[in-house]
Amino acid sequence: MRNTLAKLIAFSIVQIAPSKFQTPYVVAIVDGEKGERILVKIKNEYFGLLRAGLEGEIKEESVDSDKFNFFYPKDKVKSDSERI
Amino acid sequence: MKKQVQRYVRYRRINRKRRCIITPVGVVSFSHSKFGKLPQDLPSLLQAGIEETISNVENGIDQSEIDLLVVSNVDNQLSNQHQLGTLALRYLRSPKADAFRIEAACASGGMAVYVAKKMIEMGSAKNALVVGVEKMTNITTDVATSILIRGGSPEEIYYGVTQPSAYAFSAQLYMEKYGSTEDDYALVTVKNHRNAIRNPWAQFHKEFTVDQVKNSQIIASPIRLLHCSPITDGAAAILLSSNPKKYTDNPVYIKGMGVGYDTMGVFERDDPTFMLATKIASDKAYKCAKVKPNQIQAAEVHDAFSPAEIMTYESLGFAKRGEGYKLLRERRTMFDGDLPVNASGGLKAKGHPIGATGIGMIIEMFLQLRGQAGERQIPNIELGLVENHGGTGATSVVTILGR
Repeated sequence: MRNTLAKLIAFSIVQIAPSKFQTPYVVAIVDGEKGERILVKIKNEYFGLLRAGLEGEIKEESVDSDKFNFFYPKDKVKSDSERI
Repeated sequence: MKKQVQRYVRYRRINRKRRCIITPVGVVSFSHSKFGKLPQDLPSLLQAGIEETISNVENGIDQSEIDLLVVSNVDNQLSNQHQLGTLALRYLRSPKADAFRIEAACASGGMAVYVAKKMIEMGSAKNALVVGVEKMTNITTDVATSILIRGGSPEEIYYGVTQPSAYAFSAQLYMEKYGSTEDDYALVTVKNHRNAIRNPWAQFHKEFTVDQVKNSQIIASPIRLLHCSPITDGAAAILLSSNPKKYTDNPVYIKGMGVGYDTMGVFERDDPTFMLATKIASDKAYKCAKVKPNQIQAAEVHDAFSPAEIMTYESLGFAKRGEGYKLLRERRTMFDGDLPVNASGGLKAKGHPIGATGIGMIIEMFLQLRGQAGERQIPNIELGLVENHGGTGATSVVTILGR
């Protein structure tokens, strides 16, 4: 699946959740390229960057046997690719 | 066109031609348990709710006159009991009564009353006993939250969007969009806890300051522990009748009632800060009652999470969009304001035994309208509104009550 550009609309850092979810974790709403609303996860290492309007990419990734959409902030995506 | 707008346009088109059925359905009796951690099991709470409601009928009622028994209960896993309708019949000596259970997440109570009222209006029943019951404290918080997450959309459940985090999306966006602050959310908690001091049924009789709320534990940012309604046991029941004057000289009438729906997931909404289901439900209720929002003198609204109370003000038409928080800053929804909201203490402080909640809210307004609310009586009230919503506002039931 091709990565999709997206913009962060709202997010929440979840501290208390049912034990099947490992806290803390971030869930968020983003707007996709066509303005569609998409539910995503965001990796904890990006806590400090999060703000409404943040641009980035959505990548589908597997976690154990489940598949989730993950949002990667744009600047982070750029620096990762420069490193490569 | 965006989904929420499409939904509202479709509703307006259909509803323009819809007429209200004018059958005077009245509330004639009630029972209400204490809310909190209770020693009784679910069948005992159910039994007490039914038997006390019957014995509280002022002019008396033969049990065989009750031809409908509706049970509001959210999750059988909380109580390990199926067939609650049939179980409830064990406590009612009426061979002709139909009985069943209704579930609409936190809106179950309101929905059970709505269905019972509809059946009376259609002539399928004359007297309906609606009982809400929930036993939540007999399981761990972890199990309870695993059950409560089911109020969201399938996608939200899959991603771990807990109820607090779903409300967090709306609460965060609302602050960014309209310039409200965490202090405004804290004020909802402060107000409702202060109100609950006057309510002997309330789970909590403890006041908090704005700073205490703002420094309480983060559950799902920006939602904090003191924004969250508690886990509660409790039961509440009312008797509805098509001939209220037969059973009491002091009935309270359902003047208007409406149900509205929105997307299951908050993420699917083009404006997550607006409670569309509540807007649709209240439009219907106002139309049937032939009243405007500015005629409502008191309200009980669904503050499962404190920020939701502010958003609900706007959907009910009490405030313009984006200005709900100003009602609190101007003290208008405080107990001594011109539109007291949640005089009972609300879900936050009175407690939230999910299946019983919506019925408990109607009982509060019933007592206020009869002048029987004790220390928390709002003076000279003739028209009150109750808003009870499920999930993160995917289902909403609005009831307007009056004398």
